[in-house]
Amino acid sequence: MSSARKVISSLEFWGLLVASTLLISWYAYPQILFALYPPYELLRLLLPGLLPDLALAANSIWSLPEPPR
Amino acid sequence: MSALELALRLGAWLVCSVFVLAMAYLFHRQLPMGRPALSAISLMVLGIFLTTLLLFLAGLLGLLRADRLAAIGFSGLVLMAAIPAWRRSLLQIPRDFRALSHDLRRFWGSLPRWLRIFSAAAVLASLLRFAFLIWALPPFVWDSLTYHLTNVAHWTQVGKIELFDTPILRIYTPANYEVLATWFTVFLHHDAVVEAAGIPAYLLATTAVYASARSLGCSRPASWMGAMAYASTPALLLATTGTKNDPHVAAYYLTSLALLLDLAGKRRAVDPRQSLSSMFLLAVTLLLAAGTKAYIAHLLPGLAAIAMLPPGFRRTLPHWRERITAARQGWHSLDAWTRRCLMLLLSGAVLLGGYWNVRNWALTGNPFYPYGVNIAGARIFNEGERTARLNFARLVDNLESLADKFGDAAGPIEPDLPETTGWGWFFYGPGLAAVIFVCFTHRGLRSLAWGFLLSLLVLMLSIRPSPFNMRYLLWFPAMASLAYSCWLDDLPSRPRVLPIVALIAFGGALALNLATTLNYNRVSLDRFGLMLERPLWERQAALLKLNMPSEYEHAILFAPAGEPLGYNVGSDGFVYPLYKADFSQRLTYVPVSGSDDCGSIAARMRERGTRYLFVAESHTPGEVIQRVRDCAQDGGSLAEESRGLYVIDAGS
Repeated sequence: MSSARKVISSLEFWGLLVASTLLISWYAYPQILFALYPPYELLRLLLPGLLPDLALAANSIWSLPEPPR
Repeated sequence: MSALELALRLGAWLVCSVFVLAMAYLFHRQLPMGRPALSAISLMVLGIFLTTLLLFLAGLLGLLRADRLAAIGFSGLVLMAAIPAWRRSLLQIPRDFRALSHDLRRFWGSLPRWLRIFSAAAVLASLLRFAFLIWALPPFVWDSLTYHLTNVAHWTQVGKIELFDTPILRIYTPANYEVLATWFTVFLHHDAVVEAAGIPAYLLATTAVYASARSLGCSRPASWMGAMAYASTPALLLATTGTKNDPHVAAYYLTSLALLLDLAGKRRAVDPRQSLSSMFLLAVTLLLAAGTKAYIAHLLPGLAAIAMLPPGFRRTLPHWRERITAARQGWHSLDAWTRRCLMLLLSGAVLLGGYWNVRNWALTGNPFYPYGVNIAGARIFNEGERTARLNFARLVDNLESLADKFGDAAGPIEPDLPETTGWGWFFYGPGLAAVIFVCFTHRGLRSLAWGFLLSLLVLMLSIRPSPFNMRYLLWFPAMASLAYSCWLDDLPSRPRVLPIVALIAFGGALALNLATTLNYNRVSLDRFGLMLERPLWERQAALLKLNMPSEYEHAILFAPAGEPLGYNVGSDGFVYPLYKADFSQRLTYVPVSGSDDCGSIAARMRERGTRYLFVAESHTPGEVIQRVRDCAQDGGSLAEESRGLYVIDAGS
């Protein structure tokens, strides 16, 4: 690969990385909460009594009414 | 179920599975694909198709019972062993198995070490997740409880594929998926593993993404990473064990894509037998899809565009003429016996592709019943409780709905996808960025992107605007996975930080995708607890108490097992939970309206052969519930046995 091509590839990579980071940042809220809550619950199941129950707080975020069928 | 009965049932399942796999293998040998990934697709499609066909024919003949299916399987195996040509082919299995094992080792060896470790961990986590969810939970997704599994339960109970009296008119829709799902209930006579019915489609879709990436010229590691990325799509993961038919349609779409990319590729030498095999499998796949869900027809223009664009517009006609000529040569090179076998297979595919619509046409005058069809304002088929319209107003409404859901910001990703696209972390992060980049640099992928977009637009032009219609787009995130595969191969290996950063982004996105689907974003710990404290055979959909009123639980607990249970629900009501997990509860629909008097309700129940009537809040029309309650309070012939369960002649 020529050095010019390497530079372009590298720029392409960093461009894609920046674009991915921006897109993931945009996507992250509130999906990060939805993604982390199930493993947290699993951990709570494996370590009973050690972690607080966040079910009420979680429900307040995502108990959306079911749309009509 | 006693241990002996369980062993016999599992034995019957094993015999029948061996028979279907042997059949699939025999046909697979006649359809050489020339590439390992396409060969794997061929074997999977044939396995799914022959299983569906066997159960379909057995169902029509009233032979849907474990013992009869085992007898068919055993007789089939004896017949195969008796025919010398088939016996010779079957004796090649050990040799082919060694070749497969060699191909797999070569594939595994081509992956870098870190990817091997990551893949092993991802496959293990995925296996554990699937196994746990299938084992722990009964079916609970809305469409399944309404109509998909209602068909499965009735067919398993009576041992026959037939229509039955119910207000759920969607039992008329094409039902190849339901036939395949019956494979997971008929042997055990229980729904304990019915959620596994989506797994074959999941594996097929993932393999098809891998094969498509290879056809686009991607390396093995890049193609494998793209396939893993698609396999982690939350909407697909949730639907796979959600007993829905959409993963199957997605799998058939992506399989057709992989076969078309292979046929349309310019780099591939034209081999008559391979051209024939690809075209033959393409026809079988599309026919299987047509009998699964009608919207595959709406995706075809996109597939046609993908078939035409890679050779280039001017080269399209000569290219496809060349392929068809080669396939014809391939056909003529076969001996008469093989040609007859393949014709028989194709006839089976035509039967599975057309049976449901032809039956509906014969019975109701509308092949798409219960959907009426309306094109640009003109009514083509009137009959139906819903209407499929092809007009631009729907396109705008559906695109607005897609725009609202794009980015999954409105809520968690659930199996019905009411608020989100469900495409997940990979699609919205590295995947989307890769699509934008690669579309500028990779001509093949640009053609593919146009095809995907066309499929999406035609679908949006015709589907009913509904909060739940994102389930029709499970195939779409494959676009981002393929773009990512193409981009990965251009990634420079120096400096070392580049692949490390790429791996962290890739691994992180996949881990978050998996994390968000651990409990369907719907099932809380206490619901898992409710199920896990019961033995596997006693886990009932009605006892999960997740998305249905307590009347269903009461019906399971208090309706007498030996008598038929009458029920009255609306056209979207749940019927499946009433059958019970072991399909032991006989059901009969009792039509009741709010204006009926108590005497005629009781008379209708007697006429239908039941003393019990089940009604439930939000599933039975409100005026019917009120009427039945009034009759019970009047102290007439109806008495309330428990909440939602009414009985006549209570003293007898």
